[in-house]
Amino acid sequence: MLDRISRRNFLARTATGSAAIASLLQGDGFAGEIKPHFAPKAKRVIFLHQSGGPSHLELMDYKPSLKKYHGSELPDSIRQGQRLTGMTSGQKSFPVIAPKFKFQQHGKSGAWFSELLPHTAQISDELCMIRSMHTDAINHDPAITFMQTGSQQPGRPSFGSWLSYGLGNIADNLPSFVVMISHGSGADANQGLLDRLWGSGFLPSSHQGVKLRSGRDPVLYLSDPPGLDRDLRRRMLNGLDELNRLQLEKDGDLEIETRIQQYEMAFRMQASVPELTDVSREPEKLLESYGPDVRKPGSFAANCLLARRLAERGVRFIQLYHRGWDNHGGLPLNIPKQCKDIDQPQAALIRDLKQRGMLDDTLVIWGGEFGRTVYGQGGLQDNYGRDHHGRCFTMWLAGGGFKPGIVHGETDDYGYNIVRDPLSVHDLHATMLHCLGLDHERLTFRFQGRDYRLTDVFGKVEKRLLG
Amino acid sequence: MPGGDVGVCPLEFDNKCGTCKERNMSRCWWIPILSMLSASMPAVAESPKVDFSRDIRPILSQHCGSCHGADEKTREASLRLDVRESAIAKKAIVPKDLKASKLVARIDSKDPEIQMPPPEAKKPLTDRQKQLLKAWIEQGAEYSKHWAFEAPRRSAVPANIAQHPIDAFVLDRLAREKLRPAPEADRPTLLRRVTLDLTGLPPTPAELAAFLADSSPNAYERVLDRLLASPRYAERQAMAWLDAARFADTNGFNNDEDRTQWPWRDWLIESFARNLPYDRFLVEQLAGDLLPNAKLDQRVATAFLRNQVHNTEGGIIPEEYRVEYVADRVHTTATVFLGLSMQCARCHDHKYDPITQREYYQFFSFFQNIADRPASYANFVGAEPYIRVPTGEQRIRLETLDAHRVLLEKELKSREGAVDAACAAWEKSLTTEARQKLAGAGSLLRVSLDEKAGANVATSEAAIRGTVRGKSNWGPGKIGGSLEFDGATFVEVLSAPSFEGDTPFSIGIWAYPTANDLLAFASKMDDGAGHRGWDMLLENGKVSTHLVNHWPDNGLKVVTRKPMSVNAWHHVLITYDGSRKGAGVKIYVDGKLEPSDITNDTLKDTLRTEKPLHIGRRGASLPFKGKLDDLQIFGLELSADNAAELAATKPVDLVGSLLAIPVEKRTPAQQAVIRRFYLDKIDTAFAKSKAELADVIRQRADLEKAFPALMVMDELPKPRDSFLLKRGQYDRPGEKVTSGVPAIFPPLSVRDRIANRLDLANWLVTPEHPLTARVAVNRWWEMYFGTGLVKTIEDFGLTGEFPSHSELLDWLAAEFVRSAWDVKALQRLIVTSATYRQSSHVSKEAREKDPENRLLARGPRYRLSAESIRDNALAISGLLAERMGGPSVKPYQPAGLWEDVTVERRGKYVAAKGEGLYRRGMYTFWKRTCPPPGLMTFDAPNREVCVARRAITNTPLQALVLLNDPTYLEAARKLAERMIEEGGPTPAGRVAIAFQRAVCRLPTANEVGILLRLQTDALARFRTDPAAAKTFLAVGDSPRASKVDDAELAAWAVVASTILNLDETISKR
Repeated sequence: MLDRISRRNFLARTATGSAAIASLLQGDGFAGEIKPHFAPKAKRVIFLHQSGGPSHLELMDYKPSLKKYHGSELPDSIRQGQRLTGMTSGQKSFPVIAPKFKFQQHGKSGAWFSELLPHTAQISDELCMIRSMHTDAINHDPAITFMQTGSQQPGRPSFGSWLSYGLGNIADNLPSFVVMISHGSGADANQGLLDRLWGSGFLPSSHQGVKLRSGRDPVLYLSDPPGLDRDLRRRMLNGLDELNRLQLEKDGDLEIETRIQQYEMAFRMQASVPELTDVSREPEKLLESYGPDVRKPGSFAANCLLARRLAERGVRFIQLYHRGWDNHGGLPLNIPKQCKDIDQPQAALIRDLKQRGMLDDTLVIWGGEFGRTVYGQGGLQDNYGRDHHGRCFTMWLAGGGFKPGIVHGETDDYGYNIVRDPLSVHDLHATMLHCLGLDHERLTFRFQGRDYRLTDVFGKVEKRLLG
Repeated sequence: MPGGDVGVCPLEFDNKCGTCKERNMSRCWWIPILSMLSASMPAVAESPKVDFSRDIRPILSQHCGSCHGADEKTREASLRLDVRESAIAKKAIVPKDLKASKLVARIDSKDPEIQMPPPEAKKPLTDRQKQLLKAWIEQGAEYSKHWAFEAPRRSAVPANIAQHPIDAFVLDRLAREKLRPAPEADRPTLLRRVTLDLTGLPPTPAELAAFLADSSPNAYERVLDRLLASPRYAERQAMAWLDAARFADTNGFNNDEDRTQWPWRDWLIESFARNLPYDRFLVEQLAGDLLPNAKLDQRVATAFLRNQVHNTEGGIIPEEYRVEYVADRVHTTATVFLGLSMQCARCHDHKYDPITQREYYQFFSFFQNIADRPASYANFVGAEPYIRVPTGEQRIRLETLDAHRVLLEKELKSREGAVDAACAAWEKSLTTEARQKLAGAGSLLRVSLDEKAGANVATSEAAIRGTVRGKSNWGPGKIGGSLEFDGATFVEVLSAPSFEGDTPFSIGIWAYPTANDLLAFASKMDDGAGHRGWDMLLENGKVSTHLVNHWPDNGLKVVTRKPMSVNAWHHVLITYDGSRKGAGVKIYVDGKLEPSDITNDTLKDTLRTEKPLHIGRRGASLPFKGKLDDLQIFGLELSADNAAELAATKPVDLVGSLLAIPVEKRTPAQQAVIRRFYLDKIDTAFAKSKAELADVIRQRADLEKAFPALMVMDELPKPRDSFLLKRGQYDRPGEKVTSGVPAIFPPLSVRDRIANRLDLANWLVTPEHPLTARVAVNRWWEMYFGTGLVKTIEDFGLTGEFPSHSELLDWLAAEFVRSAWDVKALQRLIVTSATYRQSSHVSKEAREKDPENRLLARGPRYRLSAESIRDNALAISGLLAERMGGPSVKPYQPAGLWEDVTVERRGKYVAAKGEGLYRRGMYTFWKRTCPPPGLMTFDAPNREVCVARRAITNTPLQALVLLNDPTYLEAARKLAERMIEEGGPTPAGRVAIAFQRAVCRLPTANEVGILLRLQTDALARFRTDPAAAKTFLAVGDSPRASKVDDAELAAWAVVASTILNLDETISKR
């Protein structure tokens, strides 16, 4: 008869080297902690992805001279034969359009914020703002895939999967990588999301992101069927446990022990997930700070609050997607709605984390897959639109070892090209991994004969961003 | 070995084994062998000989290869460690002299300046690796070619007591490792194992009973006969190929439209059912379209290379994606047939394997010679090239229509031949007045384009109608109205007259072109069949016409010399005398005969085609821009006078004028026009049949449009130019290359031409190819044992794993080729081995010595695949629908998943009703951006790229699926009904039935006790809350069959669910 050893015990023993047990745990996203390469600043990531590509020009990259250039043709010296998407490549004229919104400086860094982000402006001193992000891709699918997996083409693991693989799971009865999606109040998103964005690529599928949804089953198939109560479920699982143990004795396969443990964890998840999503015991004042949407399940605000609760419970990578930023037209009408969705909740999230002393080891990142063009799509119009723009865009990070209250990088007067300190997506990934205690060149997985990395063969840690 | 030989079963069952499942354990053929082995084992193991291929090359390639390997651009100090001469010349290695070998000092150094590999490379050597390198140098530092690039050698089967060649090899290795094989699995376990392996489904109790009752020595063989003949076998084999072939029902990427590649999946199943030899299997999928007289199913097979993702996102650069698609074909082909990861060489010379970047693009060029057209997300059907493949039902309907059509045509023909007397009588009966009324009559078809609105277009023939495709902009014309053509608009007319090469005809049209580069006035032409048919074009202002059977070797072309003006109305008329000569064609513009040149003059055969008449376009190209009006087709060669009449917008007095010619002076063509007019306009019987025929043709065309579109390979007439792409980028072409295979392999030689895909496919299946057969047998080995003889089944290259049993792998590969690539024989060969039939019990000792069971001292034991787990639950419960093939189906799925990710949330998943809920997992609709969650949870890949090997993970999410997915809850309910129905009145009998169904054995008393306690608890619970029982039983669409009361059925359903969740149920053991 085998010893009944728990998975934690298995883990403790891997170091001493039972190959059998090590092989059991390999690639198991629900297994325990794995040591990082060096002492980490951040233990976890909250990624507030703004899907569709928010306009940097309307939000945080203030360009006062655009008022002067408004309506004039974008000079060739600026455009430099830039690759265009098929949506504007037929356009004959490229008139510069000044954003319709007012800007103001905030905080010690004097960072500029548009009037659309009054709450975010208040946490200016927590933010490490990067105005010089750039990406190789100009279409949604490759660009968002690049941001999430380090490659424009499908097939690679996403950031969260790499983290689960690299650092293991320290969450209590929760997966290490959780994904939440919200729909923007602007127009319905005219670009898709894809399961691959939280997929594990060639890593074992237990590292893939688990979607947390609003409604009866926050995790797919979480709830017991109607008519089957917890007591009966427990009895059933007891029976199952006994039967599986008989089989373990007979077959001697340790995989059965793992299976037994996974049923136990599933049972515990059935309690831990509803406990996680039940925010009724959060203080009223705190709920208010996240804004009125926090009471709407599935909203960005509700997801921000859940992100904090997931972070508290040790989840490694908490990925939010907020859809609806692809403003090819009707931008002045839509972008205020999108901003209203996110502004108060994201500021509240930063404050909430800070208040709990969690901001230091939680890396919060905000941004889309690219920015938007300074020229109008469809020409000069009152209710203008902007096309995709990969040459520069703005992202911000907070906590987790990033230097607060700084602005990194600069774009030209048109907000079209980077003039100082460009930061590539690979550099961003390398720097984030560094904060998590991982050397991006050593976090590798061999697949089809090659050692793959999140950063492919690129990426440089940008030390100036680190506090 | 495959074929007749395997009829001898090496394992003799105890004759009485039907009565006790334990008994046959006691009489295993392994046992006498073991005693022999222990006697022959060497007492002391010799100091191990280092094997370069197994031990050293992986170190050199993984730790040193980036700087001292094949890639010149990154090579440091001009030192290559992968080439012995270079390593010795540079004194990195001095054979048998550790002190003199610089490599040794460098790997042992602690000085970061000297240490190799350098610390910044982050690829440090382990102590064991250092020892191996030193031992190898001491032993003489011999190099050898990588094992997988040498042809497999069929070594002699080791001489030991094993009767089956596989066992002989396995025993040989076990003896060396001092391990004992396991006893044979008991009969029920073996039956379940082999049934799951060969069909993906569990055996039924009747099958178990039959096997237990069969005391003949070939009982197991008979089971194999039954299983290999089962359609379920073909499905199971096909299922395993779907990941490799990245088969899916949508395009992937942002828009992720539906596609209909499933006729390929059905071809795949069919190919396994008819035991298509593996060489044909490979050739047809890679190059079926290039086979001489390729049949439809061979073209269907090539969809294998078109299953790749396809991006329709607005604004992508088509060439960028075309290159990605071709790279995907290279990647897939190399991975699944060659077991090589070639994609490394896309951007630079391969760091590990001997494949240069140039060779990559030579290989690449085999796969890029198809149109690979971009497609739009609006109304996506397929990206060209694609073909329409009828379903079984559609094929039957098509045959019926065609039979009807032949009948009608016969009727019309015979009426035509028998109508002369009636026609003459009619002619005689005509009054002068009646004759005058016939002025202008006599065209076979007139499309006057006088509509005011809409897309319907009337013609002079009631039975023939046309349709405007694109915008319908009607306006004033030359005669009445006209239609405007914007470059996308055209008119399609079905059942328009078609001509033989030797029938005279004329075609006239009024045209107001607004451009003159290259436009079609009208055509009836089949682009895909050598341009058969005719067209009337405007080429840089000159009028031209093609009359074609097969261009250019069987067709003619005539072009006018003088351009005509744009932005003005012109009448264009082509006349043809049926001589099959260019000289028989005349072109009139505005009533004047135009001087013309004959530029091709080879027409020999018919122009007949089923393609519709197009006004304003040729086939799918050359759209007209401007206005067109009044197309007329005549069944004879019009005269110059007629041309002038038409140009003056006067009616052509055709029939009237012909009737004026005395009968005896009429030419046969003139008489034919009169006869045709009589038949069409006067003879009611003929008109009725003709209308019926037109209707049949219309139905046929509609039916063809409903055939699923299948993206396939279709070689361009002229291969594209191929270039090395610098850094793999589509827009950075470098050196020009021609198709070819890497130099490391046996040459692919063709004479006096460039090798194409078919040459490549044929080269892959040459018997001496080092990889094809090895990779194939290894994949099947993995199917049965969970791990390949080469674990990295997708990588036989330098970084791949050395085979656990290299001689066995080679023997199997050679045997597979010798058997003429007989797939079923190979399966039989593997599953008849005693190695396969061992008990899978794992002792503590065996687990410690060989945790992964690479030495095969026990039978396989692992969790079933995602699809199999579901299929099993459906089969165990009796829900499984056994229909094969057809469009993919949508079983239960949680609501809202598609809306979460799709563009404008427009994708909505609507689950099937009835049968579609219960088909095998391989038929589940596969949406790439949101794959079926129940399958994904059990490690199915998302099918965006080729995946050769699935991981097997074990997560709590899997437990949640099996506990709570309606699929499994419904299966539990149906299994409960079965237990009550088949298990008799005793509770123990009911549990026994469920166990037999689920795990193919009877439960022990202990197991029965546990489940009955649960049943009692559950029953008590449901008795106190009958409503709970009712809701619990309401899951799933299938009706309640049992008459048992709710509480009792619900309690049994809880038991059934427990059994469906057993590790044993979801594992092969």
